[in-house]
Amino acid sequence: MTLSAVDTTLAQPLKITRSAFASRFWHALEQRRFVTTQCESCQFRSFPPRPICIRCGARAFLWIEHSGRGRLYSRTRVHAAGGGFAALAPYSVGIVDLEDGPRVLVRILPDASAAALDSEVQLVVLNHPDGPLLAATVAPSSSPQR
Amino acid sequence: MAIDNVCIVGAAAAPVGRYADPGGPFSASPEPELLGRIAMDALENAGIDRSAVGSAVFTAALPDADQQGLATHMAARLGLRCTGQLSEVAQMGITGGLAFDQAAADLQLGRARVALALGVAYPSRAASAPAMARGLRVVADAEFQASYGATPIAWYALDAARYLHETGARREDVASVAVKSREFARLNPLAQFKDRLTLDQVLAARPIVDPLGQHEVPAVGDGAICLVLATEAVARAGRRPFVRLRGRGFAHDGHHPIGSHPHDITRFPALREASAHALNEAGVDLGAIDLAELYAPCTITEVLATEAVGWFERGAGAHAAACGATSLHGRIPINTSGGCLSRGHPPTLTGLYGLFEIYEQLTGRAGRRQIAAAQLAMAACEGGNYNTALVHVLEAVQ
Repeated sequence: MTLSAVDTTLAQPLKITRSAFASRFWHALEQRRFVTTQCESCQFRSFPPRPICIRCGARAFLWIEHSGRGRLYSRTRVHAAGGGFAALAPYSVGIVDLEDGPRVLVRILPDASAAALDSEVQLVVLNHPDGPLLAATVAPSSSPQR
Repeated sequence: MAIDNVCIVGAAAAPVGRYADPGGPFSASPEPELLGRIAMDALENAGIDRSAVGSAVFTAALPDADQQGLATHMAARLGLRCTGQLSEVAQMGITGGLAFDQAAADLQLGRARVALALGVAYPSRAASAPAMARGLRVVADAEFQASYGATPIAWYALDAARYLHETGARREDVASVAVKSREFARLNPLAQFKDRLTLDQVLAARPIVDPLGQHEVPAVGDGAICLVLATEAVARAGRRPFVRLRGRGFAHDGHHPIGSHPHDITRFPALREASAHALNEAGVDLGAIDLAELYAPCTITEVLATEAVGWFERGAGAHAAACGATSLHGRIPINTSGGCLSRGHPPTLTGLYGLFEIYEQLTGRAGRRQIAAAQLAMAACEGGNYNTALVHVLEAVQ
């Protein structure tokens, strides 16, 4: 399924080298799809994607796609940040538990930054000019406008 | 060779404050100079000659320190001739406790009869942008989490938000830990912050990482510290009060800082396991512990740590602190030094500052913050969001 996208004019504040192993994830994100690894042996789904299963140790895995739906486990608004993040502050980050397994830490968009914990959220692609990241927004079905 | 007990026989520390002075052309106290003074003070306090030092384990020099290769440079400056080890150790917030742990291990292995656990750190020297970028990559997964800007203390804020949501604990009860910390710090000559602090001030403070404000997160602080460890045979020959290591525990909960799948981030299972192991090794019940120094950069961290160790029921730690259970005359005084929030928090040294406070308390040198007849104490430090925990139980020997 294709995720919605939100554009931002800010470059990513932190430059991190992407791994060749995870290029599948980053390329998929450019296509607005969220994929991660699933162990071929025990079916454990991992995020971040990992080449070695953290549960059973098997080294064979598949790439599988996620809906990006989940619940907001926790969040905080960061008022004081250094470096490139200072220009962004205040901004929110949070932990989202996805319906199909993994737990992720992502940016929380303004609409979800005051949402109650445990409420439903949806991952979207946050398109920086220099590449995509993930963010969470209030899930369409649980939005107040419905 | 029979294994002898490990003891702390002397210590010295600089007040936590600002020692890096990048403004002028000359530094009043470059790291090696301050640490040299502190190490000699500690040996003098122990009544032990530097020639007896067999091992010296340093907290790793910070990346911004001018002098790298700290361990052997310091040994050369101090005229040490170690045959056990000279090393720098690092593992996030555990670093200080790890230096102590490694020095103790050398005594237990018979590699040394006297060992130093020491360090100097001037986090205030670091330019904020690169330091922040480093901090993001230390706690978060570099490729998949760091880019979102969850600063190291933001992870504790995530704990706080979840804890308040799940337990119904009162926000002001969590904040009260900052007031309690300040009350202790006002009695500690080593403390960085000694002005009176009220609950209203804590709650009205500039927001840093919601729900935590300025007084609930640590400030930047520099420090230098040295503990002198020795076998009990050496300690007894010194004929002065000392502290004996009774138990030790270490655990990792398998995450850093969150796992692939949901788990309760507010329960600190590694601390629960490590503290239980340390108590078991010491052969004492939790109720016998008279005071504790817990690595707790934020108010919420101290609350969660006191629950994880088992002093308070889940969800009851904040209210217990607000009612004085962790204060000077409370059931279990916590962070009598003033802790990270008010004694100050040079992260790599905090574990050693905690052990220093325990040494002061158990040898009856804690002045107006002295816990009467303190016999047993617990020190804990952590990495990540208490994903790893290192715990020591120590005992007074008069």
